[in-house]
Amino acid sequence: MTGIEVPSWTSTELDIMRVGLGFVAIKTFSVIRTFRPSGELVHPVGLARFVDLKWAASRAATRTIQQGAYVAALCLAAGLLTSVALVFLTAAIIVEVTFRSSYGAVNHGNHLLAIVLTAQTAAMVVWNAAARWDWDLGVALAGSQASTAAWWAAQAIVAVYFTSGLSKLINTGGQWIARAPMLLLSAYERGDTGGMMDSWGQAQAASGVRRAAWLLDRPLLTYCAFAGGLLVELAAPIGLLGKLALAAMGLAIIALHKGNRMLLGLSFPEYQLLVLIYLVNVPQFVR
Amino acid sequence: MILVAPVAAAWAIALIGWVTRVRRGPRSEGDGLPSKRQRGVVMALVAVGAIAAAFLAPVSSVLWVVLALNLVLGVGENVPFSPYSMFSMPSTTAWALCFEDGEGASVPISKLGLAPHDMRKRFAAELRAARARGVRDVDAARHDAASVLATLVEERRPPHGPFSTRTISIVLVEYSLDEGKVRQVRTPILETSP
Repeated sequence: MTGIEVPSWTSTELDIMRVGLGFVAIKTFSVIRTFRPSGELVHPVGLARFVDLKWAASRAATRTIQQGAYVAALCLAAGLLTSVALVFLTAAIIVEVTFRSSYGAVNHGNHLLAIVLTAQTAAMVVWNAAARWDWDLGVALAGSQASTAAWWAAQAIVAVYFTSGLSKLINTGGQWIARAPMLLLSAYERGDTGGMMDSWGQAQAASGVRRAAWLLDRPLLTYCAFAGGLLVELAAPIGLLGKLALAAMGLAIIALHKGNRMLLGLSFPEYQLLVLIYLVNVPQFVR
Repeated sequence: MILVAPVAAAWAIALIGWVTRVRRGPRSEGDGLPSKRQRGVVMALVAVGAIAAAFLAPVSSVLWVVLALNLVLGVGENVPFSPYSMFSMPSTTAWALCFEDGEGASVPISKLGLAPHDMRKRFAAELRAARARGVRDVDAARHDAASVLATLVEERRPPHGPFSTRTISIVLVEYSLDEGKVRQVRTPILETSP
């Protein structure tokens, strides 16, 4: 009735998605010690409002989370103790992102991994519960636990981009595109903050400022660039119409990230990897 | 239909908003922007619509449930949910925080283990906190917020090397657009030394 069907992924595609997710988890947790704050959580968010996460600042806790995540990610990639690995990784990423965001600087760099892991864990729990107690959840579940987890992860990713697009419309009363050229000022801001980074960061920031100055002299091009980005975010749900639509939407979203990197100096590499794994799904084109 | 209709509606709003704003021309920064209350109401309505869509199309229910949770729980940044509102309210002004030595050269604070963008966000959070405490004077609020950052810098200042003894100034740089050109205003806030 809705014209939407759960894609039929092969077992090889699902295996590669699982390995890819494990890789992204290892990549994410390998840098969690950088810029780690310490002391009181002065601006707690989410879980930290109810649970004291100060313990997560200690070196021992950091090492435990990190090494535990490595083991869990390897288990996930290898298909061993998948349920335990998913639960651990989900808890670890939520604690880690909540902890880091509770010092007055909310960091969205790992939110997509957190929501993908949450969706996969929820899929695993619901699938197992449905199998155990004979629940008939109809088309909400796919033919296997792995397919359900992949489908829920793809939907969660699409939801994130759609939310981001809707926020822009809601917060500007629909006028985001007309106001978007003002975002080029952010390139200047990044130019100055880039001066406090290493020499690579400084070079990146300087080229961002040059591009912003060039674009400020070409308003029509600037409008079109930002309009393209917003329309891609808002079109994300169309990807759920099929595997090819999902792949096309994935490529458009990666292009959006590349554009953001050029214009605003934002890359979000983990986002791009997860889109590549679950939406583009490269193995489907390699037969 | 359940996927195409919301996308088509969102595209229409985005494009109509663009055309009408360009025709009318910009008046002021806040011109036409919805209030916090209006935004909250729209978010709530979209969340209710998303929940309804989840029942109408169970095959894509996760999309709609995550969207609803992002717009409801995400507003308080309850990880893993978020409204992803960064860059959603473009402003005619922007600002950066610079850390400079006595000669005006940038201090690479990332080498002290402090991420420049985290410091910027922390400064903004401390400014909000100062206002919530009742500090109405802008300069006093900025000074209070910069004091927190100065403490972080001193905690991480290395015992040896070029940054062990240098005075570090925290400078607010504000940018604005003036007839298509970028203007900068630099305001030193405070200096910190070991």
